[in-house]
Amino acid sequence: MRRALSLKRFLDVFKLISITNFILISSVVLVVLVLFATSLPIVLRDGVSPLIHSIWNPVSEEYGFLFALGGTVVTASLALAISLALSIGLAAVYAEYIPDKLRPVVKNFMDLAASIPSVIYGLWGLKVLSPVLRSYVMEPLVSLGLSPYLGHPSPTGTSLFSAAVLLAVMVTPLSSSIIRERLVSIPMHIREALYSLGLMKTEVVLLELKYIRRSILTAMAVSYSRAVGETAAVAMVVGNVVNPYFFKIFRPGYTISSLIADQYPNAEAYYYMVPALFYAALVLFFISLAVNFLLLKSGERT
Amino acid sequence: MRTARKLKSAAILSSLLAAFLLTVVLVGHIIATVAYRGLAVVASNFPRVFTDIPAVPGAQEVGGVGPHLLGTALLVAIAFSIGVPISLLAAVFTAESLKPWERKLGKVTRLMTHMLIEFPTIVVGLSVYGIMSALTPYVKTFVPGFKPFSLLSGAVALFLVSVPYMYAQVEDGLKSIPQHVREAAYSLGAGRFLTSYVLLKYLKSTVYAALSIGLARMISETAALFFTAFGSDVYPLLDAQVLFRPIGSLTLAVYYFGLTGYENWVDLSWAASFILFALSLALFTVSKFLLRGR
Amino acid sequence: MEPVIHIENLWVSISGRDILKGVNLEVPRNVVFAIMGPSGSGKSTLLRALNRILDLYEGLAVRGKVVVDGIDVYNSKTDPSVVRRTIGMVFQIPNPIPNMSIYDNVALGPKINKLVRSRAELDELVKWALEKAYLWDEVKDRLNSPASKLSGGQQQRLCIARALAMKPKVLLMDEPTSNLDTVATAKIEELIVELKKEVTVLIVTHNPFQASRVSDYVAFMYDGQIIETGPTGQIFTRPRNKLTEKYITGKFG
Repeated sequence: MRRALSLKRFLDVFKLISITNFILISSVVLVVLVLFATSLPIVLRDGVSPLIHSIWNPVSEEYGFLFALGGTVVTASLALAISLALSIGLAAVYAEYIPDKLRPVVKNFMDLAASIPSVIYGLWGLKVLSPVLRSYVMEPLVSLGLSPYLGHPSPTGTSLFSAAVLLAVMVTPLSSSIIRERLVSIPMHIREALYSLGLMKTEVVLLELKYIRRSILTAMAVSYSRAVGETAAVAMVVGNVVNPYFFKIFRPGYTISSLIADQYPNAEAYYYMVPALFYAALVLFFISLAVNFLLLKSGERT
Repeated sequence: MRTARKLKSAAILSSLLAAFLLTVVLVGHIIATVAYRGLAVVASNFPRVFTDIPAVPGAQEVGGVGPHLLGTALLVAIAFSIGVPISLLAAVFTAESLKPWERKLGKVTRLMTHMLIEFPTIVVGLSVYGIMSALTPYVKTFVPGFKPFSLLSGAVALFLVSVPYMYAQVEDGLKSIPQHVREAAYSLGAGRFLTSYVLLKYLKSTVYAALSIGLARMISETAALFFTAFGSDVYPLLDAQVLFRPIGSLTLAVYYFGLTGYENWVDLSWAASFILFALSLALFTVSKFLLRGR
Repeated sequence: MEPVIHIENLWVSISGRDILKGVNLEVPRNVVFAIMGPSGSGKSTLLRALNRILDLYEGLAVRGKVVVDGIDVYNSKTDPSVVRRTIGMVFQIPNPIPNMSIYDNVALGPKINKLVRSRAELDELVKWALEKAYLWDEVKDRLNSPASKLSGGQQQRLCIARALAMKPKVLLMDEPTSNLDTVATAKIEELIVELKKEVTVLIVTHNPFQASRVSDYVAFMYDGQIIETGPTGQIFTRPRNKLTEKYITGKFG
């Protein structure tokens, strides 16, 4: 009798800790709900027009943030392209060309890179990367007469382009680690099969990359999702200028996240600005939801 | 024919190598720059850089990031003390659930926290601001100083961005315990709660790694703090109202001072970067060490 | 007749450990030559030394001379991928590339090595190789389904077809039936005997009975050395060496 009672008491303690699960679930639900609820006033007032206009004028309470949405898509896509090339190179060289002894060094170095706070990337991007890109990439291309398509860089080099390059550097350690782990786990007998056909090493490497294409897709989705949401680093190098011509990537611009980060100090001074920023955040939320849905579909995430 | 093939092969190899070297050089340059520029400022202002408030913009001296260090410490202390018990207990409940409703609850928790990881942190921060603003009119009757831009909001935001990582790490650890160890623990005859305690002790290094990963997340977070902690360059008054006033953080210091045109503030930003980098490097090393061989 | 494989005093060590200790061997053309011996005797390493698949292993050191079909395999000017195009290989684990189709698995080598000039020629070659591997009738209706859908024995025959499609002079087989059931094994053994019309087959096996069933010549290896070699009938009836005798009578280890 006593025994049964004490057992029951222990079981109850276990059930009690389900409170923590409820806390976690309800905080996530709350975060999403508040996102919807707070953006409601501007959604009711303007509908989808903020998504298709590029007029940001708090004084007249006009908040079209197409320029920021465009900036997000342009920078994240360009970053994805650059990072894909970098991560594949990094992973392939790691798995196929460097000696076994060197691997832990490279691996730890890249894992460390992935753990550096993004605001540090931002400071480096602002003070080092942007000026270098301006002098050695943007100015030469502009002098070739490409400025009608790419725009003129700012004196400091802050631009959508710099943001994209910085994002690429930031997401590469993580995305290459996904490819790298899969590449080194290709069984020896598959490797031997490819070599036994008389293929050259690079041909084997290319076939191996083709073999793990699903992991590369996963890495791309992870990169895109991170690039879309990244804030501090982007806000430091993107220039924070309303730029309706967001496809002219050498110009400074905004992304959704940098718009929110840059505008918050004055947000409370206007009636509709807070809802407008929440609306923008909601759009960001849906983009990353869509990317993560794709990720789930590709089915290689644990 | 053969030379064409060799040329193609050489071209591919050199582009792979170029990508490898470029990435390593860029990342190396970031670390080297932070170390070089940051350490220079920290060394020439030692130890005042850890305690002083920032100098006025444009001045000769740089001052220090004392308030920001204290801010980060307070934010992290609060977020950590909410986050650790919740993430550990929720992970235990998820991993050790048996009955259908328990399993279902565990599954939903897993899914939700996994979603939370994927939310951009700026969105999380903004949402916390929204929650706090909505609460303000009600709380104000009890706490007159309550404001959405505050230490409390910042800590809640940090809690939200770090808790999924701690939860997932511990839960995965619990799930990966070999069946014979689990059986041995349960055979001691204690209830599930006490048995879970035994299992967590068995997983000690995983748990500590989870905590240091969570800690690293909190320390390095910037975006979630914009709309919550807001930032401040002066020491907070440590009175009863401290929870409800804006506060600075190391990451916000890097951000602000870096974006200004004043040379001494940019120097201060490098110094803050260096301190931030050193802290995150330490936590990185600890978690790598604890998870070695895995 | 000139031997197709000529091995002279071959020493191989991996990470400082000697695996092959002065191997000498000559293999005539268009025969099945079996190498038998207990596990750890260096059979697989010898096989992998011939087509330089061994290059994939770290800490490798090779001394000695290997000539295959006139190619000096370990000459510093020799491209290992050229060696591997002359020498086909079939492995212990059936290893088709799992997410490639049956057709693509066979076509891969000829395509990349540009052995064919047109799609029609490639189709022809794939069909020829699959027929030679006794697989055509079983897969001709589903050439585009993934190779991983085949049974173990079929996968191994697919690997044989993949090797044959390169029109190699020599086919190396590393315990090709050790992961298969008896029915699949019988089919592959039957196939091996047929194959010597096309290529010289060098097969490694730890099973002396398999060696006696399929081979014309046999070598017995022990501790990185060839102990005895000769026509299969002679070795199995009148072995000269005590170790060989112990091995073929099953009194080993």
